[in-house]
Amino acid sequence: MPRDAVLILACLAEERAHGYAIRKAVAERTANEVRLGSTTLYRRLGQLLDDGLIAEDSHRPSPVLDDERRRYFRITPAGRRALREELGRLERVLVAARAVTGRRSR
Amino acid sequence: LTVICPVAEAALRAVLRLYPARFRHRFGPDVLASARTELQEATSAGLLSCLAVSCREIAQALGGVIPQHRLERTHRARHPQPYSGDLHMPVIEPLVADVRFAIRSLTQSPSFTAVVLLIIAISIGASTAIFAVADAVALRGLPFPDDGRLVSVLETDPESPTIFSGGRTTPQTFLDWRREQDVFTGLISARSARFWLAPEDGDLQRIDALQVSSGFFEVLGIRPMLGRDFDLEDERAGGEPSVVVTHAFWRQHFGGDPAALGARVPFEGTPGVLVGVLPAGFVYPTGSALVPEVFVARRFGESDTVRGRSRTYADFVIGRLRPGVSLEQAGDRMAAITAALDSRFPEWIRGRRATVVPLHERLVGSVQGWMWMLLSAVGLLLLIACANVANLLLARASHRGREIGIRAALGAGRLRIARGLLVESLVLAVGGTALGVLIGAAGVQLLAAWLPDDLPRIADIGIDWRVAGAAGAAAIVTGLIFGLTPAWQASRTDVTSALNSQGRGATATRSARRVRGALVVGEVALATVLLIGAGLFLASFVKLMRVDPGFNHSNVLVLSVQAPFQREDTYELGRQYVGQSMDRLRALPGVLGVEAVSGGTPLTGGWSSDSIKLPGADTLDDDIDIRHVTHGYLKMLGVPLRRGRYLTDADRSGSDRVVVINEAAANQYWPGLEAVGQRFTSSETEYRVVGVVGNLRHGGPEADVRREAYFPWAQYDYTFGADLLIRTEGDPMALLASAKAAVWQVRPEQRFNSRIVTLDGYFDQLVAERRFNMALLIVFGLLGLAISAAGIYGVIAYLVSQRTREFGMRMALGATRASVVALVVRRSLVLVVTGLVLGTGIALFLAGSVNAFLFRLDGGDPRIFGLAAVIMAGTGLLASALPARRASRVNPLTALRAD
Repeated sequence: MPRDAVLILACLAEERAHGYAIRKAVAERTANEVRLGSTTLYRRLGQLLDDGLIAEDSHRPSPVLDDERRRYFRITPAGRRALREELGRLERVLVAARAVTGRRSR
Repeated sequence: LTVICPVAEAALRAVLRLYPARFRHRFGPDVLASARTELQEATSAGLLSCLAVSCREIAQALGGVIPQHRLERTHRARHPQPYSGDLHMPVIEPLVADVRFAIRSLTQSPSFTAVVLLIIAISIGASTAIFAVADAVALRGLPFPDDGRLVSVLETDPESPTIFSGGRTTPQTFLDWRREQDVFTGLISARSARFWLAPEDGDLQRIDALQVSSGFFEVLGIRPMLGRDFDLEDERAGGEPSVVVTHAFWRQHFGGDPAALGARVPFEGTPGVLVGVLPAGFVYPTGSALVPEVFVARRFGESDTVRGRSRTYADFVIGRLRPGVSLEQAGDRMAAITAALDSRFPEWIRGRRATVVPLHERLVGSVQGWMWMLLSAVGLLLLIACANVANLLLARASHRGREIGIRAALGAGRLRIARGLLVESLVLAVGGTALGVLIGAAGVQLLAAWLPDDLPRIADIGIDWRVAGAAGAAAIVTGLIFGLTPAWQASRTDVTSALNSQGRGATATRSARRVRGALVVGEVALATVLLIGAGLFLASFVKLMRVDPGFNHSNVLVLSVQAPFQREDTYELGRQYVGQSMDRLRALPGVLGVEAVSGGTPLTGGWSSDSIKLPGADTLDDDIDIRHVTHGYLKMLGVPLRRGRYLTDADRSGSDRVVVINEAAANQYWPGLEAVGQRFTSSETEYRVVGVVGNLRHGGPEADVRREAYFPWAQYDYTFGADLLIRTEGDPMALLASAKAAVWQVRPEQRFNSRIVTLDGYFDQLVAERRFNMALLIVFGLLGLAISAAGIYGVIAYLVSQRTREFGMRMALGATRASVVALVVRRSLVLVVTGLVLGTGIALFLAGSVNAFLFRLDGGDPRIFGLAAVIMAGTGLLASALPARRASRVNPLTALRAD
């Protein structure tokens, strides 16, 4: 799974969000290391939608806070499963890699 | 700051148009809105961050285009959906649609498509093949880093323009230059050599090698993949010489083993020690077909520093210009150094000079002009083909006037129609080029077989990416050239008249006709140029073949026999080998005669000369060619006796010292006198002239006649070996194996080095370049003629079909068939004659530049021009005869009833 997709899924796992919010959240969590461009963001969202890992959310927040042009996305159960698997895999990779570098530096 | 945001947004919008429709519809507005917010935020942070964000947005958008298209394809494959029309036509999709439409419409008229593809394929094929040759041989740079700084230093003699050394120098001079020069980062020398490889298991194998001086690869800028370059230590005589080999040689003979460094290289005689392996793919460019596989350290012994009588001009000197030193400065410096040497060793150098030229020019300069000539010729052919295809497309467009009119009426803009037609042309061009490259690949094989073997870098000829790229570029350019005119014409279609004229074609306007006429005139003009070229090269070659060589070179096998050098009895052994070999060879069935020559077999380039002194004169005339021949030699070669006698069996060791000279020598030394009976001195021996024979062109038909002297082999002291000339009854090649076997019976160790083994073979090599040019130009000329004839036919046939009604009317009103034919023929004559005049003008203009390629023929030879004009005009008439006949057969009634 591409890095950006993991990050987007992770954000949506916490709460549903619109595109701009996702982008902000990703930037914040990665300390501005990952700055999703507008096209990249929506390309990934489109892909996740096509794969059924996220869905468009029809529940809208109160009209005061909302901009009616915005689209909201939420994670699907399949998306949660995929995220869990991917994070597990990444962790294993990390542990394995750390073991190697750790041995060397010692 | 306020400008950046809208500009960035517009750019992003433009990039989004490249995205698949589904993505644009789903997220286009979201992407733009999101980008807008981001930009607004960044604006408040200042100019730099605003710029950074804009760049990031656009860069990421651009980077996503192709992945998104790929994604879209996999998505579509998984979720097949009927294609729903996309109203917002972006750029990519309609182009695909245009291509599809073009292919569909082209397959609907297969004969048209086939003809056009054929014309493009042939012309592109020819161009590709010629380009492949020219590129490999002359155009591309040398395979060295910063090869523009590599130069060659030549030793030249201003007094004798025919330098047999080809600018090579002696080891003495090279060592002097290397010691005194201060303009090169290094000066190196290469000398070609042949080695025989004697592997423990396996047969002897000849390999091409170079003997090179220290720092050779460093100066060239090539770092050995394994091991090292040669150093000064390697130049010392004694011990086994160091050897650097090519990657391929290392793979083949050392199994690609890195531990092979230090191993023995099994040369016959003195083996070498492997000290380095060159990087894979590196091929050293020599100025000839020779491809060295092995580089052996050059040893400089005592004899290479002593300035004695004998000189060997074999060193090819290369230098790399020091940073900041120009070619001219280096040239001046080397000339000054050489002049200083000249005054230091007056007996040794005698007014020779040093010249510095770019290495590339020295290696391929001689063939560069030739290659450009061939490229220009094939370029003309390509232009003719372009004009012809444009013509065919115009005709097609006019037939499709109604279709185009309908498309225009349905709202297709002019640009849209023109684009469609242009895409059609490009589809034809690309298709034709694809076929053409295939033809070109086959053509390259053919050309490589035809080319003179001694062409530089001939081994590199082939279709590679450069060539394919050039062909692709040619496809686009030709497609545009022949596609633009019809597209432009069609875009001017007037809708109403197109639909009114009942399908006869509204684009058959006056201007379209004029354009087609002009195209045919252009074709005829260019074809005339090619025809004249073909005629000139043919006539020149015929002249060359008519030159009397002064002897009969057919059915003669040439084998060299030598005794091993550096033995006390070398000369005695050599005489024995030669004599016994001749006896064995004479005994072979099918052999008419066997004779021996030492000092240079005709046509092989071998040559030696000596100075002679006439009685009464105290100056030496150093310019007579000398050969020592067995007594039947001149007779066997068919050299006619003019006076006195040939050499005979009686001219043997101990008898009178005699000589036979040729007419050129007789006329020079004893003009108006009887040469037979005269005497001259050579090498302190007095000789009596006993006969005068005809002049013999040793250097081939193009070489000048030189003064020659033939001494009896039997009276020769230095008989270490000779060339054996074997006159055979039939094909000499059929006797090659048994002839070699006969020599091996006498001397089993004898090696036969030469690739060429017959006098005819040597002759062919001498005329190969001219024959090649002639054959190619004739092929080009005929192709140009055929294509332009097709063009004339097309235009006249079209004219006839357009004017059928008019002809019918004329005939109904009493015009004769002849007058109708005359009408049609006149029109074609106007085109042909205009083209002829134009073409002749161009050819006259080019005449001067083609002179260099002709043998005793002027580029403006009026006979050739006349002949070409007659052929062209005749072809033009022939091409218009068929349509003219059709015009004269028009039945007035049917013609008038039609439409």
